[in-house]
Amino acid sequence: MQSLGAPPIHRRLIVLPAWNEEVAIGGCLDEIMDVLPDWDVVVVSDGSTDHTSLVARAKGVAVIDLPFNLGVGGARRAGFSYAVREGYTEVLQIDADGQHDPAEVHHLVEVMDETQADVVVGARFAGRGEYSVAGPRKWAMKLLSAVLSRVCGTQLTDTTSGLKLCGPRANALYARDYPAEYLGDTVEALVIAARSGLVVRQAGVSMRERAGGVPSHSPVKAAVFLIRAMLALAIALTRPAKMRMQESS
Amino acid sequence: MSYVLPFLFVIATITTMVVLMRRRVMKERFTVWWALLSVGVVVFAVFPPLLPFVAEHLGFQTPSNFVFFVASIMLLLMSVQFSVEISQLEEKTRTLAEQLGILRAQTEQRSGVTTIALTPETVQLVDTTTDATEAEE
Repeated sequence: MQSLGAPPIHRRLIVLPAWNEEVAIGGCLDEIMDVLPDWDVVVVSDGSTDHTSLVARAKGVAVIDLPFNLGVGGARRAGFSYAVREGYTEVLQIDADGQHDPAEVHHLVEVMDETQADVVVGARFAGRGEYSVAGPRKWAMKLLSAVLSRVCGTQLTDTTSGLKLCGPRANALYARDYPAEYLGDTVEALVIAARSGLVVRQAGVSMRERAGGVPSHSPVKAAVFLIRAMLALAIALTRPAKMRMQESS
Repeated sequence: MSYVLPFLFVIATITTMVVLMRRRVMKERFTVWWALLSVGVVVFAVFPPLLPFVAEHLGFQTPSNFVFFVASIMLLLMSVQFSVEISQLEEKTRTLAEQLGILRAQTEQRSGVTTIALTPETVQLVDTTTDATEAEE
């Protein structure tokens, strides 16, 4: 995609989707820039109606202001598209809610270096850290991991994780084809990667409780989550396979 | 005498379609349905015994049931077509919004000129007609 022949100076980009995160984004950016100084950062302000964009600009990072709210899938795809256009080779997707610890990112980088994977998922329940879910939500996540582990041909324990490191082939794929529906951005994105012949691996990371509120434990919401997860999975798996990525190496 | 009404309906439909297409407020692909409908109405109006004949042989108890059935199927298919078209439009709008955001960010970086950040105070300076849409979760 480097049409003008300008050599890329930086190769690694952190994409931080943020929707009305003016309270959390400043601290989150400080931490990222402190722990991961070699990475460039782009904040995708997803139609925020508060000061998210202003706070991020004040920190001196690139900001993509989406004119209206597209949902997290749209924000992430904008990040991939930006990365490809700007010639980045590695893209790290991280959440702005404080759940993901930048100090854990090196685990993902190590796994990518070792396995030559195209997509590395930062996974809870993979040895490191303690984080508990229970009830129907847990069953849904178990089922998702079982199915997606088969599809991707590797052990995946946390398929709804938003912490992901993607290599060049994955970036090119996701810039073009990234699902925008709820759960599509995590579950279906993995299916698309596997179907396109990309290598998916996971790295165990410890995660923190979200900065903004506790995750819901309502059984109704968990049941809805289960149904929507199944639906997303069923649609992703029965969709005709997309074109395979060309072998670039 | 009773067949004047169907013909009037057909003439009105075709005139409306042609006028809408001439004004370019409707694409041809949406007029296909109405054209099909008009042809059907003309055929049954020209040969009045045809309707009871067809209805009976398709197993409908009364000819009017047959007409209602065909009408509802057609409306159903049209709404499916609309759903598909709306989804495609949404996808295009989404892509445009992403590319617009990227373009603005790149312009800022290349030129060094910072455009105004979107905040509650500056939002009226930006040409958006959408009110803050609620995101899905």
